[in-house]
Amino acid sequence: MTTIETLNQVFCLVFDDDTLKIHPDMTANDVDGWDSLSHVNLITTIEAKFDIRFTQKELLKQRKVRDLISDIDRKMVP
Amino acid sequence: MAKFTLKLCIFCLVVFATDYTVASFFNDGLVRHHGFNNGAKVLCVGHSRSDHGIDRKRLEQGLNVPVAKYALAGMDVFDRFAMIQHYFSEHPQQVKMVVYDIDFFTFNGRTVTRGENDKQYRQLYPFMDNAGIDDYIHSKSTWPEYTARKYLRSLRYNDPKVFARAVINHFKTPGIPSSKFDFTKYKKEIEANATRYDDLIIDDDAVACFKKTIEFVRSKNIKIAFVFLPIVDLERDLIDIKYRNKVMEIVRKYAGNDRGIVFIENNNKYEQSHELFYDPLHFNRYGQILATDDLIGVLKLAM
Amino acid sequence: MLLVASYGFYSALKAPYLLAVLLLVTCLSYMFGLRIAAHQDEVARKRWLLGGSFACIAVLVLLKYLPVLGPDTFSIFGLNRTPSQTIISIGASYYTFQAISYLVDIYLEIEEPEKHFGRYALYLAFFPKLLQGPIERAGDLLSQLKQPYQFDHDKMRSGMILFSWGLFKKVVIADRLSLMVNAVYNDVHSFTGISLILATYLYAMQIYFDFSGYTDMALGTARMFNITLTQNFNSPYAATSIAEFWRRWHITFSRWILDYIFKPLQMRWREWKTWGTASALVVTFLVSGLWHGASWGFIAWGLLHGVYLAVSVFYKPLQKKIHKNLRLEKTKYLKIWQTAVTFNLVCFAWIFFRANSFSDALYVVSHLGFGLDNQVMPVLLTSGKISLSILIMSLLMLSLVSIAIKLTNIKETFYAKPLWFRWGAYYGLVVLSLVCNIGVDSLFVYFKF
Repeated sequence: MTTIETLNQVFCLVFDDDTLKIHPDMTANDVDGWDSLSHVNLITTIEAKFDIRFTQKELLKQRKVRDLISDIDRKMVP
Repeated sequence: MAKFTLKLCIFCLVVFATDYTVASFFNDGLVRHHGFNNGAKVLCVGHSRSDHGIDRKRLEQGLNVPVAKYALAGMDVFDRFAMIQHYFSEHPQQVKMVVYDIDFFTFNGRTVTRGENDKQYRQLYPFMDNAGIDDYIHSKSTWPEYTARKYLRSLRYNDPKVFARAVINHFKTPGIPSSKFDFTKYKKEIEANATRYDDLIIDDDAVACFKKTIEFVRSKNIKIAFVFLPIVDLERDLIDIKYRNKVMEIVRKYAGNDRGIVFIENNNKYEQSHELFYDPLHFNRYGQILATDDLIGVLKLAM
Repeated sequence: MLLVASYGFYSALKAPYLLAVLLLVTCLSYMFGLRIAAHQDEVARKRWLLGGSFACIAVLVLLKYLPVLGPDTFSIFGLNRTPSQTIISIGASYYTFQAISYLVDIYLEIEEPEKHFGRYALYLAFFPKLLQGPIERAGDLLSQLKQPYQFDHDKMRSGMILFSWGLFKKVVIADRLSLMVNAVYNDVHSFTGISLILATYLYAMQIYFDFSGYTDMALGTARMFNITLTQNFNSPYAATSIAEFWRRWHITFSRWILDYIFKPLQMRWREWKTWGTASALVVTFLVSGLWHGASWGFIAWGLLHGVYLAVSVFYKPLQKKIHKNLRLEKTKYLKIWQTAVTFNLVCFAWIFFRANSFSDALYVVSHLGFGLDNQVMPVLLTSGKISLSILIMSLLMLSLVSIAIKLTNIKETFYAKPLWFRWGAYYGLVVLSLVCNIGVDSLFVYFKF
């Protein structure tokens, strides 16, 4: 599965919505219930699923879904 | 842009004109309150205790002469000297007698009364057009405050007490409250907190100013009546008796040396009559009537 | 040119050391900003960031707390009298925070460092916002400063109106309220029960009109120069939760602590899930309390808000369930209930903010429910009946205008009205402010921070 597909699964899980479909330009404003609390849940779930850990700087810079994808991809490279 | 600037200039002119008009309206109210411009023969000078202790209209009726009452909250010896000079510079010839209130705090250098502080000179802003008052205020105020009030005349009246007086006097003569203070509650408070007036002093500058005031008034051949204004006995007892006697001695000395000065001391008979007081320091309406009637009796003989 | 005016404005406060502090912070952050950008290496960048932030904070802390350590310290700077408590650090908290946000934004590569020293200095010192904020982000303000000035009639006009509106709120309404509030809060032991409650509600109104009045004046002045500053208030007491309150009150400040304190902490503690978020909230608002001042009152106030938010974080899922079961979701009654609860929680916290000492605050809190002392009318009549009626009428007028602005497009229709009507309205506003203002000693409440 591609990164974005796995990520989509995570989103569906965290926001409890199987119909959710993410795209690179999505931000927190676009999803119902995506606030700072659920954002933490999202991050920890992503980290668990992809077995990675974001740095502080990456986390503070992330604004759109595409930032998440590029950060994940960068970390997945062996 | 030019059109806008022009509109703005006209606007400012109109605002200034309104400011001037409103200020005159306020000033008129104050003049009525104090009884300036009546050709007063008696001038009462003092602070809020005079305000509560002397009923101007009643005094006028009793003495059958116009009376001016220049009493503002918190005015101390220095303020009063400025006020007396101010009044005489505007009305040189008329006054025959000055009534000046005395209390235990007169020589303390600053007024020690509830809730007041040394910003009381602000009540003098409405009279800023007088050169003497202008200088006096200038020496006490900060630059922004002073300048703002010099050019925006309405601001001179923005002290809440002044504002109220300036407006009300166009419609009626305000009276002082007739309520009595809660004596038993106050007694408990004193016993619980035991705050004494331990830091009272005889300030040399205050005494000197007092002397200057007397000389100034007497030099115009005007008589002076010093009126002792009482405070409730509970409050009085918080002041050391030796200090109290010292204060009275100073005034008695001046009165004794000059036949044109009289010291009215007997108001201390009211110290036990708690129902005449609005708070531990100020008479209420009933106290005011009694004290004014007493004053009328003495002044009639003295004048 | 604006820079000269801004520095001139600051120096009018007659505290030359403040100018020095501003200059110091400006130079430090300017320099550190360039240094961060000059390096590519992550560790070096971080070091410069931490260094810069630390330096700015150190300056601020020194300025604020040095007098506390001893009045003699001032003689070192050649001052022979200690400036008033309020003036001591005016504006410093605001531009220091602004400088730090600038540095962090460079570090995160969101912004490029400003090379033009003059422009950067103006970014910090711009006089409309110098004394009490808003705290501007580099992205918002710096880019605007780059545009040359051109006279814009509409902006000039609406800026002046906004300024006058803010002035009115401050001198006619807020100051009047302050007299009533002071009558109680400066002498709490003479009151009990309902007048304490009244005074607290009045204080909530006072601080709102004071601060938002100032903000209007700042935004209005800036607009006259074609600069748009960030709005700091958005009907804060209409909030339905404390979290929402902080999105509506002192918006630039709460955004600052959110972005630069809360988010990093929350991420750092993300393993602790909800506890991590809750702790981050408490710490963030503790810092907020400390920023306001070094007294137990402010710390208690900050802590209270932190606890409110932390509790709500735990309570939220439960709250959702309750609302669903009682079928209250999205009803009008729920909204009213939530707004009322939030308002009262905020007012409760204001007690600690306003009380002159911590023991005073405790007295107020312990005596809130003690019934009726007959002091309500005397408190309201502190400055007399005329003053009270002016207050009530002003509040009515203000409410009517605010409602009109919300419900209709009165802003457009107003400008379409004939000349005499518009200028008549301006005239009325200015004269009212001139005539009905109240002379009080206190400067703006938020000057102290």
